[in-house]
Amino acid sequence: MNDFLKGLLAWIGAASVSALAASITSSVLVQNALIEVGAKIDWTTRLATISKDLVLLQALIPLLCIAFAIAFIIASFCYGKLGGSRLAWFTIAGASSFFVMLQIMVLVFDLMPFAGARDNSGLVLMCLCGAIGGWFYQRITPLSSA
Amino acid sequence: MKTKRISQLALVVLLLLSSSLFSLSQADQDGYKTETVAEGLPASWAMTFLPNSDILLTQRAGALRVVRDGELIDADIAEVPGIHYAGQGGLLDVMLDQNFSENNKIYLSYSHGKKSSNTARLVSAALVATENSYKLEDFKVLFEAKPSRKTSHHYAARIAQLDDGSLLFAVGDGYNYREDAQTLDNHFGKIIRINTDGTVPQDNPFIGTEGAAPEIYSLGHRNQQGLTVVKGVIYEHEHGPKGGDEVNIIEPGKNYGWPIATFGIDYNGATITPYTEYEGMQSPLVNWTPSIAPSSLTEHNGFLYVSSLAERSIRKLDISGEAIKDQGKVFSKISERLRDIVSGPDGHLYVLTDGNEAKIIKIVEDKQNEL
Repeated sequence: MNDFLKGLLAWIGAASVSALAASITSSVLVQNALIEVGAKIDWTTRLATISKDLVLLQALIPLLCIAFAIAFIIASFCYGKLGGSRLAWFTIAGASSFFVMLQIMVLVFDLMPFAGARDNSGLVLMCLCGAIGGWFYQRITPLSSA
Repeated sequence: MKTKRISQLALVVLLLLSSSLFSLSQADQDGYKTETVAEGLPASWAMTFLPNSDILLTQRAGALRVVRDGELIDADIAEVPGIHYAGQGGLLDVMLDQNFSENNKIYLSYSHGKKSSNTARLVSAALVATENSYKLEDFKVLFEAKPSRKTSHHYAARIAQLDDGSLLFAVGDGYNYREDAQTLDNHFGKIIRINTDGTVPQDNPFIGTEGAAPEIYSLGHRNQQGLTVVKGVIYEHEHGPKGGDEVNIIEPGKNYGWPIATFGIDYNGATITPYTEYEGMQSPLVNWTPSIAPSSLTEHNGFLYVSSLAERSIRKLDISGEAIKDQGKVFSKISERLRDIVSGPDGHLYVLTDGNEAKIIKIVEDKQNEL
């Protein structure tokens, strides 16, 4: 497999891994918020709901592909020019691109359409999901394709 | 040559006549006709009739206006101060006191504050006639929802008045604060009840409940933009998210479920809750899934009429029995986003369309074909 193809698959894979983590995290956070205000949700129902919420992947994967494309190009450029830890550059790129994507949503809709990120702790967790995508990408891609 | 021209002209006249006769018979078959009362009304939200048939109209940017004899009077009655005009906010509902003819009192609701900290407010004022229009005096803040919010959505903001004179005010969940609709220490997602001077009635259901806001009358609501009292029964409707629009009968102290129980899902397709019903919570009497986006309701000739935004329709609800029966869409010639509906003093329904070029449309029913 040539570097380009590997990079392409890593890019889509990173968006998919990040979206999967974000979908599960958001579902758990939303259900936890309901439990906090008195709802009883058993584990079978919780798992079924997490599974249903994977519908979020349809929107998240394409959005993250765009966000990661921009962020990874910048990370690659910074790594090339400034050096340092490649892991750090791409992990930060993944986290910050998720953050920027959510802030753009807030600017466009004037509210947070992604329920898991309505409060600061949710926002931090979503950035961590982005960081996982960045980590995944730098692990898969060889240096030459980064 | 002349004869040919005359016969051509006669043919044209005949065609025009037959076409208008056809239109007339269509209108007769529909059983009603529509008349545009006023148009070119920017971003209007609510209207109400004064006893002299003038129409008070709220414009979200902050102006209270008058429509008289089909004309929008140029001068504003008032620019309500401190309005937060953004998102779904601005100057919203207007209602006359049930003793308006004696006290000239009106009620207004609006979003107040700034983007980073705003809330829903209910105020009263005296509407005083001037030479050509009206002015507001004795402006008084009766209620302000707490805590404030950072969003400019889901204010609800409908006002109604119970037979005992107390006021009901719908406060929405602020979109980002939906779980707060289930807790009693705040006003998000509640219907509140206060006296006309802003004090709290001592028979409110959560008076004496530790930590509860005493104004709360019912809880578990989302964005209640329909609220009216008919023969002492409180009818309410609220927007669901994607699906799950509801019509409820409001009773003191009851929990209407949001966001623990709903037929709707989030706009992005995610689950809001695993439950469509939940023990101890009221299920809707009418559930509209997919959403119609109900914007207002009014009682008219013993029925409830609901205007809608997304469905661009008017729905008729039969409230004569124990259950509420949705009789479906009526007056289907009107197919625009509708913001408000009221029953006029002349016995006709009036609807206010949505948007920057809003219109007031009068619906004149053929009595023999009354819907």
